[in-house]
Amino acid sequence: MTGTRIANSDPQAEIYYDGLSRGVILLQRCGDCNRLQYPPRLHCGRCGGRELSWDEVEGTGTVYAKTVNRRAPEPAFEKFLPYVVALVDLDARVRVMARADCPPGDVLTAMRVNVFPDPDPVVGPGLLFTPAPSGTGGA
Amino acid sequence: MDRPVSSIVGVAESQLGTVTSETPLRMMAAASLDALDEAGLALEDVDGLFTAGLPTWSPTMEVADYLGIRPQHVNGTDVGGSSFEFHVAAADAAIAAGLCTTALITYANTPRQDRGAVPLSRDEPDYTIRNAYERSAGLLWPDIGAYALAADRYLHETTCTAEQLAEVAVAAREWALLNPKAFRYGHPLSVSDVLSSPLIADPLHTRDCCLVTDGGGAVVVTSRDRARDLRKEPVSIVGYGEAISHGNISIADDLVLTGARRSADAAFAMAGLTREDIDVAQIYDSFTITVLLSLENLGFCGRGEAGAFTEGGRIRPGGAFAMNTSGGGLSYCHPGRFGIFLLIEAVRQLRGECGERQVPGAQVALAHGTGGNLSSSSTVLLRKGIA
Repeated sequence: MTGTRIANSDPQAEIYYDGLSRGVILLQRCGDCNRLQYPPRLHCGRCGGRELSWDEVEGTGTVYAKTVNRRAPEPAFEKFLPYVVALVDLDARVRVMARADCPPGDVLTAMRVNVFPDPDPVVGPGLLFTPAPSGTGGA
Repeated sequence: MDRPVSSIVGVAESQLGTVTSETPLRMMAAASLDALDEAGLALEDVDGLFTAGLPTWSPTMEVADYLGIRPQHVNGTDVGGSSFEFHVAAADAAIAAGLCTTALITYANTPRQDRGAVPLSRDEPDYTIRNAYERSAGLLWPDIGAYALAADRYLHETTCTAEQLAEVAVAAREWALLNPKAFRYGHPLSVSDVLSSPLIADPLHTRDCCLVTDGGGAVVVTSRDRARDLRKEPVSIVGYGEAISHGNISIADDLVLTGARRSADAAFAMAGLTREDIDVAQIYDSFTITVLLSLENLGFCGRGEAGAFTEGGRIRPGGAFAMNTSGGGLSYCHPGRFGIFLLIEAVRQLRGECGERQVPGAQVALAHGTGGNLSSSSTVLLRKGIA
């Protein structure tokens, strides 16, 4: 991320990042309320439960909201302009933020998409998405 | 408790617009002295200091040093542009609790002067939610991307059109044409102008977004008893409510149901007022979408109805719903955090000082701040005189 991460390394972030580097989305599930959460935390942000396990989550989901960035928040993203960023409600019942790996015109709100780890991260590990192939379920 | 506890007795802006050879500290001092002057108070009367947003490790202590005061109570709550509505609530509570008797709320910044010279701060640590989990998605930051997501969701869920969003900017401009201090004074704007301005983060165009200006302001709050004897007619703080719904946009449960529902219900309950009692509203307009979401969540119209609510000139000068009479953050000024100017304009409307843009006979005003990524909501209700 911003330089070398030495101080304050976050063990839960490391697990999440390690998952992404292996091509899987690992998210925490609460042993008390059984809900998944994003982002990872020490505890369940919904019920306060401390017994959390890691689930490998399918990337299928639905676009909750999207925007087309016409400017980049930092230089590393300029090469993608214009590009879509969306909040995606995964079928596993958790919401994530991801960047579209497709032209802006291909993305509609409420469309079905597949979310996957960015194989070539620009400012740190993250998620990409593409429209789901037709026939894999409607919005 | 015997309410109202306190009143706003002085308000002032610093220089606004494109300001050169000024620093935020100088501008805060200028506005603070002017606000105290109009109340007939002096710096030595200030024993509570409220500020936010100065890019230093302790804004309250830095501002106190610069002003030359030794407050017994400070509050540096910073929740973005709505911080100063939170400060009014905290000042009233602090006065009620005996922590201070006269509170100075002040803010200034120079993002226009600084543009290009001072880079956006990236010095948050890696472990913040934004840096650790959101930054990699490349959402346009600060704030614009988050509000664009909310606008997209709102347009998806409702029949609201881009033209109705644009009407918010056009109405703000019509009000700004009546305010010589407004950055866009003398420059009319049409719906087609908004829609033909460049998209920044779809569906938001340049003209859906607030200005980037320099500027500052100050608001003086004191106890009801002390307010009776001062130079200006007091404006009573009759109700307030606050809510934090999320900080980062990926944490938001819902992008169209905002914290304004909670903050407004609390404020109206405290004041014993209804939505129909509001004569003039100052509603934070960081983006056109912010206003539509606030109108609904504050309870001025039903869910999904805000676009239609703005039609027929209702929120323009002379319309049935007097709103953002200064020209707002969209057309008057927006130095990073706009909330203090909502309060300044609300007070001036209740005093009847607004000239061409005066809402006749305004007795009750609402100032509603929205800060961060649609994150922080604070509603302040004000009444002319000692209520």
